[in-house]
Amino acid sequence: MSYLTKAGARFRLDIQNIPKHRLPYFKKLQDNTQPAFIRPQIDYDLHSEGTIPTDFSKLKYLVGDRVIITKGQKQGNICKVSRHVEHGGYVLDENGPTSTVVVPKEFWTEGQKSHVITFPKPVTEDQIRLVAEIEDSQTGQLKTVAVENLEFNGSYFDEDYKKVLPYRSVHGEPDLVIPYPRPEAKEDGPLSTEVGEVRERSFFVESIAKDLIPQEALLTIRNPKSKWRRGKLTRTEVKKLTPPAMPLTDVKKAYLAELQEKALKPTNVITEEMKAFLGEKIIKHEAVKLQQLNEIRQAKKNLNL
Amino acid sequence: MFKRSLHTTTKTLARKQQVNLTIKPPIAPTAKNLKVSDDHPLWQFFHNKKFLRKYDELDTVGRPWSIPELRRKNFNDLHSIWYACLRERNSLAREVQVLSAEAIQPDRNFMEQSDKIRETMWRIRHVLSERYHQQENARVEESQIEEFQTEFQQYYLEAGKEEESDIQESLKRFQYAIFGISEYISENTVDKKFISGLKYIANLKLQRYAPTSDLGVVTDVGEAFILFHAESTEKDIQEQIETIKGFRSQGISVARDEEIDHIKAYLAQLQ
Amino acid sequence: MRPTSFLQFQQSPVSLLVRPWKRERDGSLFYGLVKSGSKRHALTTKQGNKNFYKGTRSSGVGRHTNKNRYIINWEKVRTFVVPTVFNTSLKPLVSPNAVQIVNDFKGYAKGPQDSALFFDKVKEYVYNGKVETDASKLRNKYIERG
Repeated sequence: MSYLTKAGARFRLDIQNIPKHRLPYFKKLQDNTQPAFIRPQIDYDLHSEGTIPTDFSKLKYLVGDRVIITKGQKQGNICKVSRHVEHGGYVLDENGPTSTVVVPKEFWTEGQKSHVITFPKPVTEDQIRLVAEIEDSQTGQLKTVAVENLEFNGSYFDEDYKKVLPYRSVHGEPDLVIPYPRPEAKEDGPLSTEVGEVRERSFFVESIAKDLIPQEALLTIRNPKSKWRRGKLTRTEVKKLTPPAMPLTDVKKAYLAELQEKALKPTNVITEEMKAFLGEKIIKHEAVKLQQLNEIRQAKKNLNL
Repeated sequence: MFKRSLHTTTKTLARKQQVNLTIKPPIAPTAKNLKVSDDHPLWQFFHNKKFLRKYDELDTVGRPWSIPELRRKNFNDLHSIWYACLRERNSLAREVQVLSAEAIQPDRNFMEQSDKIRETMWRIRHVLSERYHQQENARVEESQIEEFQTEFQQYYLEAGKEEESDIQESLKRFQYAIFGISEYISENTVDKKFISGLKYIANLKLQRYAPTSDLGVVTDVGEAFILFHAESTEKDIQEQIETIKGFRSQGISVARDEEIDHIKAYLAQLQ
Repeated sequence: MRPTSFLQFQQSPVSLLVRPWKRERDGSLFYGLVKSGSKRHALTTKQGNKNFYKGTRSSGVGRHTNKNRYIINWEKVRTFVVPTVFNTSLKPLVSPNAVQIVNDFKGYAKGPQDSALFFDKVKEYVYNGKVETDASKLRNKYIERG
């Protein structure tokens, strides 16, 4: 059967659908069925996606970065990241941890002379810290430090990577930016289009009347008979579909006219008469208040004496 | 009656055998002994006529075309990229199939390349449908089209003599942009829009090169076609005005319902 | 003996078959041990009755005649159209040295599908022809109008 077919995919074991409490069993199964030289060298979550991310903020340490090992036998060694492996692993240079396995003769690589080989063992993100040169705020000199955690924010255009990247800085201190290592120069591959050809503009919007895409090509992209396509009603159709409004009764008309009249009337109207009445009330109230105040003052004076 | 002697098998078997037969060494059944012509169509399933590429011959550095890059390419270019992708994926699928005889899972290196190309392919489809939607949205905006027409009319009529060649070129582009009237006769389809375009352009020319003429607004499609076809010079337009006046005096005109047929006949004559 | 099997022993065979909790929604009996699990899938080629032919989306490009011939209808055959002018310099992937440009749609609410953007582009073409303009060219080495 062709590898392209999706038939039978739903009956296949999908590790993503296995509940978490069953995962240790599969982990054990994997360890028991695979020999040591094939087994993945890092302890990873079976539910995690294996692919190496292209997003720099998810990669954290790039190829060429200097890191210090904080856990394991090689603790304290400073190494360079030489490549990424799946499930978030980093392969370091010769100063990093290694593992030794026995390989049967059928799987020997070219130039191999012994059954026992040693190769670099990938480390996970929590086993290493980035080593960076940061300017001391007091002395003004550069000093080499290990960065506990990183954060990514903002964006800028990097001319060497030729794309927009987020700034990488010390966690909690967005001003302390640690630049990315410079990438190696790359040559075009056999299937790569040259830069000049990529940048050439051949498309111009020329017409409203003439179709931008040939009709035959459009039929392979958009389905005109799709059941999700919303129909558009014409003006006459809308007119036909809209029911006529019911004529109003005389009572209803009178009620609506009354409502309109009410709405036109200004609400808080204060006449001169009302103003005079309110003023009189206020003056009386004030006089009573003043009298009470004076009485209190008098009483206070008497107490002091 | 059935006669055995007339049977074709009998006749062929009875034919004289060739006498000068020579015995040649047997041809071993290997691929090297097979000769395939260079233009055999199945070569399209092979990258550079290679049976199986090595891993270092694959493109590991290239990235898929991005959408902003594809937005710059015209339909023919996008079609070319699409076709190149299709051919490449075919040969990759063949190679994976060859390798799958020995492996449980499809080869990762070949599959990675195939997936990258697949990404290019969906992006091409995305860009094309984007263009379709953009044009469909623009066609509904009639007020914007009218606005642009009046804007261009002002530019065309107020341009000085030194800009003459510029405005003639932009008039050609304008008639293609709004009415779909192409310079090449074979590309045109005569419809309502085409007819209204002819009349609009004819009046535009009349206003620029003969503003004082007493012809009025041209509504007859025959007259419009004469002016549309005329050279953009005051002298030529003046001559055409005279012929139109001649037609008018003879009472020659084109009826509204015969406009499209008339213009189709004119264009057929020109071709 | 386990308690469950003891319970089974007490019930008659018929009552075991007709348990109320082992029925499909339409009332038909369900002879299974478990009723859970996903089963709302499309049929495979191996399911259905004798009339079920799923096909592989590759057949049916013509018709059979009564003289055991098959006439292909070329309208139905899948075809791949070759570009009229095949631009062979364009390949499936892009050079790693090409700048990854970013499109911006400032002032165009609907982004790439905005009609105002379309009219702006048409106007540029009418007035200037097929050339890059100030509005359409690359800014800051990586930004471009969409």
